[in-house]
Amino acid sequence: MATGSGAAAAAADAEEKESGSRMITLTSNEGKAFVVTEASARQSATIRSMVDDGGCVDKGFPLPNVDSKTLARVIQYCDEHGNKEAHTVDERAALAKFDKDFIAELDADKAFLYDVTMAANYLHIQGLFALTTQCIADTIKGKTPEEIRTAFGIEYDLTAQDEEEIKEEDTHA
Amino acid sequence: MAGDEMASPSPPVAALTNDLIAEIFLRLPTPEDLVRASAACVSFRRLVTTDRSFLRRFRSLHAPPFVGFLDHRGFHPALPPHPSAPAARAVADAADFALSFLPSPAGSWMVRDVRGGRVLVDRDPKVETGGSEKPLVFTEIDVCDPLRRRFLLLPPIPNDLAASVDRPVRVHLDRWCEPFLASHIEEEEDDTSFKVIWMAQCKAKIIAFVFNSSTGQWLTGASPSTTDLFNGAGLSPPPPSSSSPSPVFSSPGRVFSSRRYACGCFYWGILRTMLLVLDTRLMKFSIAEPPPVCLGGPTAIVEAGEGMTGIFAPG
Repeated sequence: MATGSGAAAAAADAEEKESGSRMITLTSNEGKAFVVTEASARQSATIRSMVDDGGCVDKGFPLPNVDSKTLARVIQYCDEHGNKEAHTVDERAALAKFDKDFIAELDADKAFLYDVTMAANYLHIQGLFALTTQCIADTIKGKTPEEIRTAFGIEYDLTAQDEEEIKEEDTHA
Repeated sequence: MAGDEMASPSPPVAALTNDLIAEIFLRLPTPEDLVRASAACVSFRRLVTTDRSFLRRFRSLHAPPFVGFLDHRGFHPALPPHPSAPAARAVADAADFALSFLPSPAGSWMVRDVRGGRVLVDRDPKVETGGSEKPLVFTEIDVCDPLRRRFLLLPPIPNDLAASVDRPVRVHLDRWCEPFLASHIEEEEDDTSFKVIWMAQCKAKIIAFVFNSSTGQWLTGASPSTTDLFNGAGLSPPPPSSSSPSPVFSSPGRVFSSRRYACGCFYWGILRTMLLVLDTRLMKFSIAEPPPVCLGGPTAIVEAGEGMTGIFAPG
């Protein structure tokens, strides 16, 4: 990762190694504390930048936008991706399998899937955000507007003018 | 957003903000999926039909499928087993690639460039009165859409601009000029406008004019002297009137050949050792030296993702 050379890179590596062993406390909006490794917490770009800016690691980080149930699930993802190596083919395959099972379980509970998506967005956890948004997009794929409304619990609220425009577009397509 | 244990089978997606919906829509595999989603409700519809930055992002992630080549010999559709073969056949049936909708006489137009669904054709302006004397430097230029059978005849290049074109070299069949479609500029709001660049390789300089469809006017683009171009690249310019000129300029025909495009720039090969580059955002020419491994053989200029340009050289 580090592109610097010589002593600077070595120092950065050493620091990363040392910081990787620290523990960080994340607190949900219900006041429940979750203690995680720094490597796990660093999956979140939001927390990573707070840690790197010299944020008070000891006091922990309150997350007023995330409830306990969601945070627990997000941490499950971060632990897997932050604490495990992904260098060999086997390690990467294991991680891919984890992601597949993880998202399949979330997909069964859409309200929870949206909560995790919002938390991944708020915490800037790129991999998790890609996983959940892709899962929701796959739900839309190949569906008619009516099926999309059913899948997402959307009320039909198009105006007569909208309908007219949609018909117009259809005849052009 | 506290976890609701009594989750209904279809919880409302309304919890997600428009920004998140946009991120989800960007991951839809096809434009058809996006169109169907946009007909589901008002907020989806507003996002898809009015948010131009969203549409630009969607388009940049969903390149239109390749359906075939169009050149001066006609349309060559993608054939099975190419995944676009059925679409290519449909396009071939729906469009008029014989360009019979253009001003007569039929067959007087030559395809010079194709980009973004538009076709640039040109012809001898005196085709109806027996044809011009060669060389054919200033042709009648037309930009057309074979699918919708529409065309726009470009006005001639004004005399004050044309006067600067001095003894250009022949670049293509019986043409002494190279008109081509500039790529669509991303920041531009209006998708229906386009730009044409007209270029000629003269003895001592390159000349480029630009036509903008939204103003309907030709303007000067750039006209760098070849000496300045080579100096700018740190290369020694050729002796101006030497009897044994450098290999580059002893070539009787065009110096810059095989126009290619990637990431806002056009590239021409210079005897397979250098590249002439035109940055269309700045309308600025320069000379680039490709890595040594790319010299001598055929190369392709490619978009390598994340705004980077790559050179592909079969090894």
